[in-house]
Amino acid sequence: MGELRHLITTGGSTSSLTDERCVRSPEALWRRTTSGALVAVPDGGELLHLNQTASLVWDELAEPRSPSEVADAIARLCGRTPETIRGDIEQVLGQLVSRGAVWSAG
Amino acid sequence: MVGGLTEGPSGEVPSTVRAAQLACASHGLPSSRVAPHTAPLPRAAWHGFTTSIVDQRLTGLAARAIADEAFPVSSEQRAEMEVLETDAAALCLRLDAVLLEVSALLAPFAEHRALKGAATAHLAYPDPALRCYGDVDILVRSDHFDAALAALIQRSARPHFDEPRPGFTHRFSKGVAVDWVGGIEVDLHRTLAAGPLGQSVHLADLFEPADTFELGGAHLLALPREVRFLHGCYHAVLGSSRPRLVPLRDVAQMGLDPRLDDVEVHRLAGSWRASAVVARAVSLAWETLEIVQPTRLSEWAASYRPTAPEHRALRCYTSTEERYARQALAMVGSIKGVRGKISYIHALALPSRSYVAERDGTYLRRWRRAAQLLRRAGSDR
Repeated sequence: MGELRHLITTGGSTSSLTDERCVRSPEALWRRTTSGALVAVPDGGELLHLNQTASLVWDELAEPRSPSEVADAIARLCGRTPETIRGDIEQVLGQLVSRGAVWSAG
Repeated sequence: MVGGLTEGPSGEVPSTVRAAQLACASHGLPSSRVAPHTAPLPRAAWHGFTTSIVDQRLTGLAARAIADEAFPVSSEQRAEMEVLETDAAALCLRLDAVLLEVSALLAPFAEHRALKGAATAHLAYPDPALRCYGDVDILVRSDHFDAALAALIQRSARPHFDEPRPGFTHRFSKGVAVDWVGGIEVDLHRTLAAGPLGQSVHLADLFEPADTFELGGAHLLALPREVRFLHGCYHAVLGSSRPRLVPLRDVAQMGLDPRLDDVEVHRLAGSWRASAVVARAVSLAWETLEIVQPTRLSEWAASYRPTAPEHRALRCYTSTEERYARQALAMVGSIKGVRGKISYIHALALPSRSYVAERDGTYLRRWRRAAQLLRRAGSDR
């Protein structure tokens, strides 16, 4: 559990995620920090350092949510339109899913 | 520790650093009147401050105070604090993983409870991130203790010390500290304190219906709320001769919780002969963190006068000298029955060869040292 990976959202990426609902892995250990959150991936020994935006995604995934639902919720929080942030959200979600911190809720 | 800016040789902390520590330790307590920190610390004082908050496990509160703009810092200091906060959070996650692993290992055969650290962070604080910790603490039922320790050793854990005699720990000790994989310390507790005040805890009370908290998908058992509060008081007052700030914050955090049943606290404290411990912990927390909101407990604590035996018992822990010898001496009086007392004295006077070899070298040297310690400890009882 030593490596830190910074999940930095950048604009303009396209998504390969479907609109399937996802949820945090219940086994993931995590802790909020003032700059975002730190997530310990189950069994992987890897620590993910989520920045502020990524930690908003993490917060939303306490309950099963589709990428669209996450984008809608965060857009409301940030005063943006969902279309302008959906790419960022999907990028973060993709990284969380690929590392096993977030699962399909299907 | 640079330039005497943290603790000096006698343990004193420079006033600027102490004021900054207090500002962090009291951050978020609505009824604290600790003076707010008003300007970034100069470079040298900042170094002393950061060293001390890591040592005192205050990083989470300090980081939150800075984020809330209640503790002014330079941009460099802000960046440095972010690194310290991340390091502290990473350590807590490693500790949480070990807590889960040990709890799962013990679950089939040893009744246990999570203590301090993660349990306090999750059950006493509005956000667990505020409460940092540095080891794993688990309480095990006394009659399951030896089996639990054996299971940990089988998993390559290494106890810090041998027992003086087989069975000593599960009868007389607070517990055992072991090194777990990855350099993590796991403290396996049998009771809540070393010495006579640990001996007078009614162990059955610790396993009354538990509170639970969720960690990594598991529901871990913790002490009931009022027992947790008493343990917080023990930790604050008996854990070290100089009370540390985070244990005092724990006492304040739990003591201000309107769900705390003070009648139950008094019942437990009375039956454990710990009223003086609770009174001292609450008074220290309220005074140190300058809490102006009185509670029934804080008003009672302020007017409490320890009896002579309570005063003597507390001195075993608050004295800066011969703590161990004082506690060992006082333990004899607190052990029930002549056979138990003899067994305790025998184990300490004639411990196993390996125990003596590790500590004193020879029996003669041990007896000489013990006589000196006991003479000094007994001379001012």
